[in-house]
Amino acid sequence: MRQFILWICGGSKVDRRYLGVLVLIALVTLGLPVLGLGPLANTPLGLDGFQVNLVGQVMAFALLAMAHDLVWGYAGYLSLGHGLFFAIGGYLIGMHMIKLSYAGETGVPTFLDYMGLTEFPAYWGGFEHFGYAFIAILVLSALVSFVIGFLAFRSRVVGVYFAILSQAFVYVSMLVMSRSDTGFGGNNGIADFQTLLGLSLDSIEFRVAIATVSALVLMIALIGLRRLTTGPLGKLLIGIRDDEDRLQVLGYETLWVKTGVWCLSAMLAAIAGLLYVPQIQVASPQLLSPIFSIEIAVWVAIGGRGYLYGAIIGAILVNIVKFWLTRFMPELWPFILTGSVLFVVVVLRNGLIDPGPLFTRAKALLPRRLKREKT
Amino acid sequence: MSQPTAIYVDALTVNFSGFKALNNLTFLAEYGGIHGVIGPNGAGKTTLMDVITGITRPTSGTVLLDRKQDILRMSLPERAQAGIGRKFQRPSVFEHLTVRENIALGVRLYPNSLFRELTFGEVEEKNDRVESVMKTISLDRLGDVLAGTLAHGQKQWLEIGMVLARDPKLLMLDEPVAGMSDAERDATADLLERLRSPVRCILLVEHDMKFVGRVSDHVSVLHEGRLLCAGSMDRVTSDPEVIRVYLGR
Repeated sequence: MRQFILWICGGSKVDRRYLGVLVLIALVTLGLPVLGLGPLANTPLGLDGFQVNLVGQVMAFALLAMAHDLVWGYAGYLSLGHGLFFAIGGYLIGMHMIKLSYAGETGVPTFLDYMGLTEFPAYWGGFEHFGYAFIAILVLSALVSFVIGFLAFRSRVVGVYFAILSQAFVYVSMLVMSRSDTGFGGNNGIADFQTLLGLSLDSIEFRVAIATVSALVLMIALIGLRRLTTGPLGKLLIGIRDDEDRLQVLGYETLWVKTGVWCLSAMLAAIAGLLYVPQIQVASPQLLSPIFSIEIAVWVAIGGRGYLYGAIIGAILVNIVKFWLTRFMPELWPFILTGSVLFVVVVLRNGLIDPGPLFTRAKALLPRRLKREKT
Repeated sequence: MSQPTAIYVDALTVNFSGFKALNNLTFLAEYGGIHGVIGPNGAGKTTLMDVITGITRPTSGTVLLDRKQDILRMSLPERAQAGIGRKFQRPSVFEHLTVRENIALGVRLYPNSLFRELTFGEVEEKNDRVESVMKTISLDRLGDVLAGTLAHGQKQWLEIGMVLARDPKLLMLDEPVAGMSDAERDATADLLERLRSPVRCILLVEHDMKFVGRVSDHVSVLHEGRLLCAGSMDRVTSDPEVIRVYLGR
């Protein structure tokens, strides 16, 4: 048993916080089918379709946040363009679902009809098969991220310049995808999905299934990345973050380490997009909005970067509060988000996952105040 | 000295938009010895090391390792594989890793394949080498301490240790005793004595003249990017030109 826990922790020490987050995700994975479909579904404890959906979306966001943390928290490169890879996953799975709805029928969706097309363009071919769409998502996200990452890292683009560059890519993509003549529905995006893998998107079975799969993928990815980052690769990544020149002079070709990790992160983000879009049933340029990409970084910063599970906690907390507040007091949300970012930056430098600085600060402040009262 | 030449620098010029950090420098160092490089600030000592390491690209000139390998054509990691190791002026260790992990990063079981290194190069198999390096640099009792918490002098040693782990044939040390106490200086001098080997050439850039005189067999004085004078410490310090530009009075 201890051996197994150590294997999961991927090191020689047991990490309680990490295991805690892992147990939380495992409980969500098990709880969703029990509370959403099982015998408890119709009791007051049960979850309705909306709630299941909400949990599922948050799980997809958590996966996205963790992918972002791999690059930011470990290699030290802040990406403000992870929405690009998320959108690749989202749009391509959207194409698959559109193709499914038109299987065996003639005619095309309105957004293609509008362009004067009477049948699907050649690049839609094969998208009626889920396996093809899945592989296309992995290949395209790897390809796009490789081109961006390789060029940026080879030219030694670092720090804030890398952040701006990644932001530029996502912004350009948003502008391209917002055009109606690109063949992806312009501003409205693609929607009108009906089924995925034989289940109707509106059925409670599908909602529970995709939310459960999202949680399961998150759990597997967390264990996988944890083992990766506690191993030799993790040491190299920390080395890159601490002193990249030093590592190169020691004989490490950091270009390939960075490019590889960047591509892996992009592919995970694309999988998160694949899981997200069938739940909101639309893929639109909203996914490519720079604001969304910045928000991803905010989740990670609030949760705490460089821990993986910190990013998950950040994504879960911020999104639950957001879902809640935007329903009841939407006008307050931007202020609360800004406030929490300031709070984390000023008080909790390592994010919510490490409340240590709060106490040391309080301790440091306390005696001074006492002294002042005396005099 | 009849030892084979380790590093041969010929007509090396580095031009930083008008300012010549190195100006037609010719320089040579042999195996088996400790070669001191001294000179006033801005003489080009660190720039010379930067060019040999690959951090700075020279405007013109040649740098040969073993009189045959043109290292200017190699990338940074390739130079490290060819046996060039360097300790930076500012101690640069990986502060968020332990002493042991820092040194383990210097050890490569599969120097030609990063992929094999990451999949099969488990830290346990590097242990023997890591332990022996930690003994050499006298940090063997601090193996599990985070490098960021070490004292300044210990960081300097740790960085030398990381470079040593690859067993470099050309070891460049940029101000290894800067900011050290007298006791630490003595320990560092002993360490350099132990590192002396017929198959290794040690290049030492240092401002502390006493330390350079104590450990090095041969001293080169750089001034304004050129070689001013070379020879034994006594010869160099009695050279009138050296006294004028560097030693003063």
